[in-house]
Parts: sequence; C-alpha cells; structure tokens
Amino acid sequence: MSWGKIFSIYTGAFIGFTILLAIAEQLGMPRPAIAWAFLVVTIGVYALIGILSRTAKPDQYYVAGRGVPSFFNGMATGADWMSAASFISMGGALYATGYDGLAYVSGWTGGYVLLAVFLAPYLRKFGAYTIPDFLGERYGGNAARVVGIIMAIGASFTYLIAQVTGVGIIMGRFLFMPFNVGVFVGLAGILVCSMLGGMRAVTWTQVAQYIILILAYLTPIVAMSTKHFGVPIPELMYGQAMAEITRIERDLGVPKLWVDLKPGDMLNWFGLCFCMMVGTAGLPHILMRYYTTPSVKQARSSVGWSLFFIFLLYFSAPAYAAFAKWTVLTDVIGKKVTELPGWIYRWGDNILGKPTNSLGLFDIVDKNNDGVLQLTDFVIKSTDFVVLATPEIAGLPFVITGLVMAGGLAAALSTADGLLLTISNALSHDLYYKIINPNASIVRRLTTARILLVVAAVAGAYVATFRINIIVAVVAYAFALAGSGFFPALVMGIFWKRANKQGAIAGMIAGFLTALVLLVLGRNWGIYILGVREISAGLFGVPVGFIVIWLVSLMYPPPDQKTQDLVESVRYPKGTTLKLAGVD
Amino acid sequence: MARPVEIDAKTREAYWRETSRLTWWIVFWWAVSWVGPLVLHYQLNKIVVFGFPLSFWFAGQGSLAIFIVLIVYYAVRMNQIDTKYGVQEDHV
Repeated sequence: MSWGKIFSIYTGAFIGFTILLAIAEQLGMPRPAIAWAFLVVTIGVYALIGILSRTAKPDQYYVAGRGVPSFFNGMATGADWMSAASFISMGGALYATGYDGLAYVSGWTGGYVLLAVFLAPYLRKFGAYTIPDFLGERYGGNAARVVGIIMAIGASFTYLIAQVTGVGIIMGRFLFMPFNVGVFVGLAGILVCSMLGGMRAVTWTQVAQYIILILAYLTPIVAMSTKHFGVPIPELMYGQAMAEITRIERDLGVPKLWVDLKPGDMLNWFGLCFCMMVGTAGLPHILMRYYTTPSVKQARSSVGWSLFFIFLLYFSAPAYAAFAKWTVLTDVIGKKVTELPGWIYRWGDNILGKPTNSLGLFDIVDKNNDGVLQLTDFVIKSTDFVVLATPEIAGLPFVITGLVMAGGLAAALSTADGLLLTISNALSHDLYYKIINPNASIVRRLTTARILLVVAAVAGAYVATFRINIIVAVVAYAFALAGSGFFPALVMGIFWKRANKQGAIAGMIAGFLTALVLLVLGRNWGIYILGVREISAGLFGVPVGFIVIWLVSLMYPPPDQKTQDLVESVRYPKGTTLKLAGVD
Repeated sequence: MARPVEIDAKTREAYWRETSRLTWWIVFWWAVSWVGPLVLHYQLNKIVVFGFPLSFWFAGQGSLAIFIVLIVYYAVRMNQIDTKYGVQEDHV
C-alpha cells in the first residue's frame, strides 16, 4: 500500500472518530471523557507508528533511510516547525498586536525561501546525518564541529523546554491535570515516538500529527466564517471582520488602529521579520529534515511542500485574531453584565467578582459599576483564549474544543520530537562517535543514541517543571542566536570556496556573541542600538557573522584541495559526494 | 570519493554561474515581496480590498503566497538548468 493511501485512510478514520465522539456527546457523553478519548487515541496512534517504525540501522535511525518522498517530508517539516506557540498562541498574539505581530507570520514563512535557495539542496547532496557533521567536514576538524554541537544543543534545548511546558499547560487546561503530571505524560508521548525508530519513526509520526493539527486548526474558523458570512473560507472573509474592527476602533477613539503599524516602528518590524527568517533557515531541527529526501531534486520541491503546509496554518492565524477581536468588540464590550455570552463563563476566571475557573486566560470586572462592560473591563491575562475559545464562540459542540486540544498537543509533541532528535544526535553521532569513539560498533552507537535521547527528554521535562518565565523569551532569542551563529557559516561554506576553518569558527562565535551581547544589554538594561529591540539582535549578528568569516578567512590560507573538491561536489546534483565515515 | 571531475570545468563554471544568477534573482524578489509592503505601509493600508487594508494583507497572506511561488519557480528552473548542463542526478 502506498503512503498516500495509508494516510488518506488514516485521515478518514480520524474524521470518523471525531464524528463518533460528536454523536456520543449528543447522547450525553461527559466532556472530560471526550477530552480523554482524544488524548488516549491520538497518543496511542503516535505510539503505534513509533513502534512499527523501530529500526536497528543507523541510516534509518538518523535520516529515515533517505527515503521520505518530498510531499511527506513537507508535511513532516510542517509539524516539526509549527510548535505549541504557533498553534495555541499565535492567533492570540495577533489579537493583541494586529499588524505588528504579522512580522512573525511573514518571518516564519519567508525563511523557507532562504532555506530553498541557499541550503536544502546542497545539504542533501552533502548527505550527512547532522548539521555539526557538515561544519566538521567542510571546516576541517573537530573545532568547528564542537562549536556546531554547542550551538545546536543550546538552541534546541530551550526550544524543547518550551514545548514540554506547552504540553503541561494544555493538559492542565483541558484535563485539569496538575502541571508536573502533564509534563511527564507529555514526555512519555514524546519518547514512544522517537526512541525505537529515531528519524524514521519521528518522520511518519509527524505526518500523522500534521494531519490532526491542521484539521483542528481550520475547523473552528471555517465554522465561524460560515456562521457569520455564509462562506466557508475564513482567510477570505476575515476582511469583513477587520472592516468592522476598524470602524468600532475609530468610534471608540483607539489611538493606534489594529491594522496599522505602531508609529515609528518600521525598523523594528523589519528587524524582527528578518531575524525570524534567517533564524528559520539556521535552526538545525529544520535543516536536518532535508537530509531525508531521496534526491536533491526532491529536496528542492520538498521545501515548497513544507512552506505550503505551513502556509495553511499561518495564513489562517490572522483570521482567528480578527474573528475573536470582532466578537469581543461586539458581543462583550458595550453589553450589559447580565447578557454575557456563554463562552465567557466557560473560559473566564473571575466573572464580576465570582471565581468561575482558574485557567489564567481573562477576568471580567465592572470597574465603574455601571452594569455595562467597557474596553478595560475585559482583563486579558493570556491571549491564548483566542484559539481556545473560538470553537465555542462559533457555537460548535465541545467535541471541537477537544479536537483543538488534540491539535495543540500534536503541534507540541511533533516539534519536541524533532528537537529531541537534534539534541541526542549531536551528542551521540557528533560528540560520541565522531570525536570520542570513532571505532564504536553500530549496536553501540545506536544504544548510545537511545540512552542520550531518554536523558535529554527527562532533562527537558525536569527543567520544565520549574516553570522558569525566561524560557518563553529565550525561545524567541533562539532565532537570533541560530541565525547569527549558524546561517553565515553554512551559506559561506557552500557559496564561497575560499572560506576556511579559522574564518568559520571566528564568524560563528562572533555572530553568536554579537547577538548574545545585544540580547543581554537590551533585556537587562534597555540598551538598544538604533532603537532595535533585543529580539531582533540578529539584524546585527547576521552581518557580523558574514563579515568576520570573510575577513578572517582572507587572513589565513585557503582550505586544502580535498575540502575545495567537497564544495565543488556539493554544488552539482550529479555524482557522489565525499564518503563520510560511518554515514551510509 | 569525491568525483567532481567527471563534469568538465567549463560546464561546471557555466552551470554555477547560471545557478548563482537565479539564486540572487530569487533573493531579490523575496526581499521586494516583504520589504516593499512594509516600506509602503501607510500608502498601501489606505487601499482596502474586500475589507483588507493592502499592507496588512501582504504581511498576512500576499507575501506568503509569493514565497511559495518563488520556491516552486526555483525548483522548476533548477531542474531545467540541471538537465541543460547534464548535471542532473543519475538515479531516481
């Protein structure tokens, strides 16, 4: 049976399962039971794929045997890429910021163009297992490899903690599970997918997870669009909601319109967008997905599929924001406190002095006691309510809220799996096998890889239980650091034969440190260069990385003939590349 | 082992020149597609189509669609260039 057929049947079965639960709900199935059914069945399916994909071959474990067709690699990349934050929080972030937040939407998609033309096909032709692998071979030796290992783990580990935290929060909000319990349930869900089958298992689980997350994301807003405008295309119809928002905002005299840029913030919007783009093209858990396609040709088209599948979610996110904003402005603000819509009571914490939930999303107060809600009476604690409450705002049964939970979980778990694999592969393949013990047997290498995978996962979950606030900020910073540290060295390694070891190491460290110093200065002391906020530190780090590689390379002799031949061979799809030790 | 020599130097050079040229054109249009609507933010946002102020629409949808088109165009053109210079993959 072909992959296409298997996943068509899977999609049909999942929709059927959702419909069954919807019928069960009408017959009186309690809400917690529905949420549990989604949790158990989806994680069960991921576990099953994980077990069926178990392998004892290194090329299967590290790069899925380089047999993932471009279409499915695109889907897997979509799930790998879209995290708990993209799924649960982005709609809400846009609700709060309007046009200013779109820098993320453009940035997290535009980076794929850079990936397509500068990196993906060449990395595929190079045909290694990891990103530090490329740095080590191209820049002759362990120094570049070690810098690569440190940066790959640094960027991926903070990101991993954020995903595990996301799982804990989702479990708490839907299943009322204590945070620390939720974190370790999530951990189990992550490990069953990746431990036995490595990249092969993670790839096919991610495809399954993508299907669930995109169905879950689109269903509520399609219903919303149909309910209000009679057309089931929210991406087309949210313009109507925006026109209303602008009209109401003008009536209320809001100083900055939702659809407008914050005055004087053009350079920051540019910097943020640029930083997210370059960061996207520098994150190792995304780059390594392009090692898994069967050919260079398919690596090229796979970037297109990746972006298409990501686009489906990202171009819908503003629709969530616009519909929710419009609903709040028309159904909540200006209404009497006695006629609040039902979703307020389901998701709000403190409603007019009465403790109702403890979800940490919003409160309703009547500050001047006039019995009517003003703009400031709707007190938002977390804009996550936008995505979470939309199914009920659209008048859908609880089963769709359960579906959204399953989607958010799929987004968090799939990203966590990709990150975990990046971390443990950097340790097991690059550090252990390539540097510490090059004579290790295949069995020993894979055993080490699996042990490190479990260690990294447990460490991630353990750190997540401390709920350190800084983590969320650090994830955004990971883009600045990955973009400034990795991107210049990777691109120069392919496009400039003259780039050498000294240049690359100096450039990686200089780019990374520039971004790091600006992050610390901005975060702790509010010191900004040209008014560029710390989150966009890559605006300076990336050019510094390129310039330092260029200057320092020129100060030292060109790389040897073998390295120059390697660069040549990477540029042409035809022929074989350098045979790497222990890489099939 | 590395065997780039199986393609003669002249062909390689011409291939890489054409590839580089395409690469920079793609990067140029990529930059235009998102920096353009940003720089012209205030002018474009005055134009409202179907409820969407245009600068907002680009940042949320239009630029994204252009990104996909650019990647697809790049993939198609590169395959043509590969064949033209005879450097396409042997198998698959």
